Amino acid sequence: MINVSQREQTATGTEATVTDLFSLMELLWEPRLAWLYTHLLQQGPTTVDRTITESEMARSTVYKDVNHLVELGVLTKNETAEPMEVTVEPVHLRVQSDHGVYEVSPVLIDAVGRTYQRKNEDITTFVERNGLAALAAAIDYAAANHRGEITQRMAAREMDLHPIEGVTIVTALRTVLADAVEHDPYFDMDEVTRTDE
Amino acid sequence: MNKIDPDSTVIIDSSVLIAVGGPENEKFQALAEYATQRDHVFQLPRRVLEELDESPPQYATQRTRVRAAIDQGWLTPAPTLDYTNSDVAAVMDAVRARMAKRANSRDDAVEKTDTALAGLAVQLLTTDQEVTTVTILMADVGAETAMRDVFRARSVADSITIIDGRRLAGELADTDIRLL
Repeated sequence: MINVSQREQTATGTEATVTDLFSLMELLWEPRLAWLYTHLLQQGPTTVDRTITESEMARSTVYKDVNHLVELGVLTKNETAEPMEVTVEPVHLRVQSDHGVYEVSPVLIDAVGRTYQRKNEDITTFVERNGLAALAAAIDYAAANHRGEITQRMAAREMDLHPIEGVTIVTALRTVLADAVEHDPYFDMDEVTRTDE
Repeated sequence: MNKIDPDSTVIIDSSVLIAVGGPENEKFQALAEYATQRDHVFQLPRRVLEELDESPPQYATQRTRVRAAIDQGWLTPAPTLDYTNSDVAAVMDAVRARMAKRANSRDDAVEKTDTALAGLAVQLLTTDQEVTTVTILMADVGAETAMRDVFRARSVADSITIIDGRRLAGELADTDIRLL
């Protein structure tokens, strides 16, 4: 039997979890936001002015996106610092469905962000042709390839892609994986597993 | 840097050509300059070439860069694989089995193109008297790991060297190659 305080805790946990889900969905559907989020995550605590310079984005856009990230609950402002500093938190959501389990973490947000302004042409082309779900799968296959378990062409076949498309996306994701090892605390190259369909 | 033995015959996989970018990319240019200055003509397996020709139109740039390298003279289509050569067939079968085992898959899950690099290396070594050692440039850790296992087991590891072509091109692009 759940007492009142437990029920409150459950309600709060549910709300927080669903909020995390919605936040992640927004990050995944908005490449510009995903790109800025990743940039801030990799920078660590930084100022808005520095971000404007480094991102080469319009001042108004950076302010708008920073506030959007605050609303999504992934960015905190340290207003006691002079000038004010901003920090983003590594996102993490474990999704379970009848098909299996998937853990959304900054590595996927980073890959999505690289489609902003076609910063990575190969990842952008891949997403245009195959969608975001396939991109998430490709990250898992790229990690398996990096561990020496599977060839790039076998990965392509398992993802039902032309070999050249498979080799291209696995190659393009190598820098994403390298950055994830450094900046994504939930990404462990040795523990990413392929979920066979 | 893991340099290519000047006397070695060099086979290259499309994984390297995809990793170095197009002719406008400094890694592509560095690799081209390195090969040209040392009179290396990298051999690309025919199956890889066919694979590139059949790829979706959105990946035409990959074909373009291969054509550019051929036109520049440092890349050439390799001789056709002779499956009747028992050494060639045996090494290709062994590589296929090893790749499948590492991936926990069945042998028929392995793309035939993945075994072509090893087959070509053995074919060149066993049929061309001028070929004493072969270097394979590739950028696919999964394929490389399985091939190394097989070359060691079949005692040809001394005649066939595998080099990470992506890393080589990256190092060349950052380095004045006259100093290498």
